[in-house]
Amino acid sequence: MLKPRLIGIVLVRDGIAVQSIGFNRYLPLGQPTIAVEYLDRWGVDEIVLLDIQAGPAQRSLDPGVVRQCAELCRTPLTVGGGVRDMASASALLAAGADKICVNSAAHSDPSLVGDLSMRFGEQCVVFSVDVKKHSADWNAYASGGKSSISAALDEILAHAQKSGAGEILLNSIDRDGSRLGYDLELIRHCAGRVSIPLIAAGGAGHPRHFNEALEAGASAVAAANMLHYTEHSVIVAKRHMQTAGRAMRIDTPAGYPCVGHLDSGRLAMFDETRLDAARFHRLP
Amino acid sequence: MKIGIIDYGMGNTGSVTAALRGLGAEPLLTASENLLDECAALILPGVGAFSPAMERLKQLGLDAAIRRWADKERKPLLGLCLGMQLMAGDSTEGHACRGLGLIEGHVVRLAPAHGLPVPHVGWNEVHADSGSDLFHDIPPGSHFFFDHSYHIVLSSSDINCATFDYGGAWLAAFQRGNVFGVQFHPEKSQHVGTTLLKNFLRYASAVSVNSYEHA
Repeated sequence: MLKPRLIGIVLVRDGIAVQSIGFNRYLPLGQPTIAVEYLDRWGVDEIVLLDIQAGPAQRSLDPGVVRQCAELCRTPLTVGGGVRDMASASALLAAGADKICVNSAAHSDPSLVGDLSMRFGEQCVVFSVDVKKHSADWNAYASGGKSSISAALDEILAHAQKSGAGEILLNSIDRDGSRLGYDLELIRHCAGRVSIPLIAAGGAGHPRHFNEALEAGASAVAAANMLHYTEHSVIVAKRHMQTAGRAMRIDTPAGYPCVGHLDSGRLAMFDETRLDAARFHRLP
Repeated sequence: MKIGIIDYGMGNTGSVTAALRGLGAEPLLTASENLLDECAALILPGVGAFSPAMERLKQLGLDAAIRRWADKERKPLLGLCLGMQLMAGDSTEGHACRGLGLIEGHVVRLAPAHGLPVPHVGWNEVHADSGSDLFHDIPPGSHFFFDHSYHIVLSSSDINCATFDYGGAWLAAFQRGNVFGVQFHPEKSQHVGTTLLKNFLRYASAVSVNSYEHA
């Protein structure tokens, strides 16, 4: 059985992994390679590495960073930020990317997705779209949420799928960094309009948010901030999802099989009797 | 041990070389058939579409070199994802196109039941025959990472050694003597994938020792 994916996002700005809030405030986390290494060891199902400055700066993510990350990462690695043509995509794949994520350039160059998928196969092309709610409707944005796109969201999704994108990475700008949970209405809206896998992003703050997004129709759930700050965050979240009835892949040596969770979603301590039994006993 | 990785401008070659280096092998990324003689085994990686990949292999003269390697010299060859599919007779992806023809089968688009999404992306359980060289030390039902829209339908199930379930049971891996193929990405399947690659390296080193003894 295919297991739903929990995807870790690593955002890079000035070569540093950052936490993003609302697409306009950033807190430094540390080196991207270290963030990637932890996610890999904690059994995350995929990693998305995005340079959020590359597009506006007319360059793509430094292949050297991709190479360093790929060297220690045995988890599928999707790389994006500034991918605008065959050459920039090829350079990232050669450096160790497994899939390519396109965003702004795919809006200004409608043939980009088609060209990439003809060459590398549709399974290699992830179409990322940043969305903000406007009264009753949603608007897509390019350039890291800065410029509004005139085409309707439904048209954008239909075009992406028709031209050969393999997956949609759906980011909610409103929920980014909020920890309030995914925009479930947006997920439901989009899931009903595409037949390719939909990855939900933006807003995860509690493991139950992942199950909510999957129930709303996402094939995979992605999170950044939530996974970077606590040890074994990926395993703890997957265990929570599993306990709530969602079959997940938990292959790591530490699987926390008989541990409960607090309301906050974090691991609970063992009860007193169990701790007592495990206590160090001095031999007489 | 030197392991050749066919570099035809289509694969996720960075990932494959990193995984092999992690196992202590010496990956040799090459598009030249002259360098193949130095290698104990060959890997045909693959991220891409079938017909441009075959065209590239032909342009580089590698299609004949791979056939010679696999069928005449009978040396170890492992195809990953698209690399596996290229070993089949033909494909309907893009413009219908002939493959390397190392195994009898056709590459067709996945048509899973229940309207499941295509591509088939993610970690799925793989059920392998016990005693298969590639799946040594890998518990049945282990998860591997898949990312594909097409799959191989074998003409005969004799060489099928593993399947996965996705709205039907499909081919996950085959072995035809010295020729192996896996539909998933072992280089991206964390420790389970590493074990599979290690098994292939062990097969390759056993074969090269044997051939020295016979020579």
